[in-house]
Amino acid sequence: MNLSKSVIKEPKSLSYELPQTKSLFKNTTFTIVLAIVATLIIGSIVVDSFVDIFNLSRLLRQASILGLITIGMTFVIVGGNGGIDLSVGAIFGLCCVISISLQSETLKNTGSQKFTGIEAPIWAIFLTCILAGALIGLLNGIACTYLKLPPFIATLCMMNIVRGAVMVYTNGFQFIGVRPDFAAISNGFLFDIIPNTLIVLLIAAVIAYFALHKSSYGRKVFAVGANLRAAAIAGINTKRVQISTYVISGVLAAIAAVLYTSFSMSGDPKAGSGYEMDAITAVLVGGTPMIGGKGTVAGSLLGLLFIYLLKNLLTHLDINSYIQQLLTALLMLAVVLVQSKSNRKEA
Amino acid sequence: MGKCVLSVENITKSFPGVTALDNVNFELQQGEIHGLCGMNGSGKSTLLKIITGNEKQDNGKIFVDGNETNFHTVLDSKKAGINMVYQELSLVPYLSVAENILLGNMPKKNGFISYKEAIKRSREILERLGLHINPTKIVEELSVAEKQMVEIAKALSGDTKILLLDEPSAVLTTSEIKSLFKIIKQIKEQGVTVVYISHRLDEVFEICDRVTILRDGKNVGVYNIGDIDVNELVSLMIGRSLVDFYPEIKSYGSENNAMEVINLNNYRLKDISFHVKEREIIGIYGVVGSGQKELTEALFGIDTKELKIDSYKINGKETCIKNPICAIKNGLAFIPDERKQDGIAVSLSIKHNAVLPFLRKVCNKVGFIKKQTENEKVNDLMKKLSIKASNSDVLVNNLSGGNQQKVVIAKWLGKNSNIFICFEPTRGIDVDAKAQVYKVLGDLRESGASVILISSELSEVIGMTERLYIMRKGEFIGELKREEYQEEKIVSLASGLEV
Repeated sequence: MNLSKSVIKEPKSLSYELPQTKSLFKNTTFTIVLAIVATLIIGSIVVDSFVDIFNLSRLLRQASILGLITIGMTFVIVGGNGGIDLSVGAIFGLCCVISISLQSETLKNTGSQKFTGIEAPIWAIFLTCILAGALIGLLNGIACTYLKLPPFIATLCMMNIVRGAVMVYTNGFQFIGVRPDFAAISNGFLFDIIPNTLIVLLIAAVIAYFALHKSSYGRKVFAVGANLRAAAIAGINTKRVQISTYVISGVLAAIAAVLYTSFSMSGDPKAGSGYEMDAITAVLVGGTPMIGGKGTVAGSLLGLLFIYLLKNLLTHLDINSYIQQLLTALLMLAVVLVQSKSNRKEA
Repeated sequence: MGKCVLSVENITKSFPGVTALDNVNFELQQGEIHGLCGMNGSGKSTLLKIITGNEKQDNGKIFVDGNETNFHTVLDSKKAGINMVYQELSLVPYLSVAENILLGNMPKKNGFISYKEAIKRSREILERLGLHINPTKIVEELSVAEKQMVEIAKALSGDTKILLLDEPSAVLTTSEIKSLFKIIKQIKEQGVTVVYISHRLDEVFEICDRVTILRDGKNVGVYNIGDIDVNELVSLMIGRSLVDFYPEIKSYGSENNAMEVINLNNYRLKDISFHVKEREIIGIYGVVGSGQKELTEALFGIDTKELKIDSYKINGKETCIKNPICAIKNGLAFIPDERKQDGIAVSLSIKHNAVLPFLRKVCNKVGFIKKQTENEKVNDLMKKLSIKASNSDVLVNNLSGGNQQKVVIAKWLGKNSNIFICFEPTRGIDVDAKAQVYKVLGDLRESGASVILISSELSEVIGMTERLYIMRKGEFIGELKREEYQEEKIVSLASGLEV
């Protein structure tokens, strides 16, 4: 038997690599940008005041709040393995009530019941809410990893637990009135035109962009989302990564709630109902598939912007909100269909 | 001589880079138990896939009962009475035994499924096989052996003339194998023809009437079982390998152990002890399903179920590998057999895959990726391993199997791991890519790493290793030095024959 020696030829080309498609039309982000531009053009034609700095600035002030939640949702969904966070709306409601309870000692509300609060400085309000959001996110994460619950179920339960607790505490009453210094946070504009909430969103977006796309942490999130087992074998602490995405989501929902309370000057225990669905829709429209392992922060935010513009346009056209809901849903469906088709082509 | 129920004439089938079957003839007589033997990659599974309509032959004809037939799908072959029991069980775990046996063929009454009838019918089938399994039981609750029997019952539920069994005994214990054989003999008496594929040659000799031997895609012999002895069969299976593409294996003769394991036990493995010296390349050979996967996963901390090790030393230091993170810290690297499951994320780029284990090396203190360092590092690895891709941003999904495997190796090369646990590292990749993987493993030793090559491919372990452990049914049953390598001996040991 001849066991040794052999000459290894330089291999012939073995690559079955497909040409990299850089075609702009296959790029999800570009598709959304196109959709946004189209909406703006149509809007400016059919409604006089649509592409109006004042209108857009007000629109962005509101959209920025949901934008924060959308960023958090992007992390959770990119983290894959069924990752989804249905509890963000409830965390939002909880933090609205916490924020308003930290305004002053007596709290005005829609009921006759007496609630006592604490007059806390603004930083303490933020800190309390962020801690609450982080804690709930942590519990979500632990339920999905160590307890091995499907994220859909774990966060659905969390959503109802948190919302239920808030309703029990408030008895369903709304709180009204915030301190002027607190109201100034979200109601302010930089140069009278850029809403403060947009600035917060942009800061969060830049941080999120670097975290997800430029850091080793982000690489781990993608790896865990794309192939949990392979990531674990490559030495990644997959549970920690998964938990972290839920914490990020919780914290961002909490910050969004503080901004919203400042902006609406009231605390509604029902606030944020349905936000989880809006955020998920934005993420999907933005090109992140539900299976994870893929996606961009920019895409999600553009997806959200598109949804907001569309809704705003329909409002300007005096289309009633029920029809609006129906139309936006159909449009979402179309966008996601087109995207999943082009995704399949890529694969 | 019985009547010929199935014959296959001059079948040829090529895949890119390999000819899996080359002018193969194969014939089954009614009511016989026919063994099909061959090493890994000899073309057994391709032949079966063609017979069951899973693959289409390039050339050649198939005759069932003397009539030429063309199977386009598995359903076609089932209709013709050919049923196959696959190695990996295909039962639906949450349905009952009856539902599984009659899957897709449930008896109906007034348009609704009649469970009463289903249970009655499946009980009949089970009893015909002498099985005492309650048809209402949920499949998940059955033992592996019972599942295997249900699988056979399922295959026999229709009008089966030919039953193909692919490694049915791989997961069974000795007593379970006995009852399996009893069942096979019963089926035979009922006039069913059985094809029995097994790497365990002792079983082939015990149960089969005739045997066909495949080697490198060719039929190298058909024998009545009484006309051939073990040695002949083994040497027919082995033959000579045509290409010799292994790098030169020199011994460094180091005295220090890189890894030493004493008495590793778990649910599948029994008292496994071995050692690897520094810069040594050892092999662990066994037929498919001898517990190799369990061993690799236990060594790397992936599967720690019921794991008990008396001593696990790496570079002379006692360690405890409780998860992959631990293993990597100790300098271990793992090249898995299921690349797409355990090795790479196909939807990510080469770069994103390759840097995973050593992210810290390409990051600054805050945790941001240093783009230039990363690119240099990845390009360097791609060049070293000659990974064929236009750049490191190409998705791994778009690479060939061989190049994907090299991405897996790149991960650990970049990490500077020094003990490589390779489990079937060349499975499913073409000959050229295989040669390159072998060369890389050789190079790894040059640069100071130790390699453990766990494989069921004989030529590979013989060509690549200095020392060989032979594994059978979860135990190490022999250790050979390179001078003592004899293919016949290795195969006989691994397949449970005495020489």
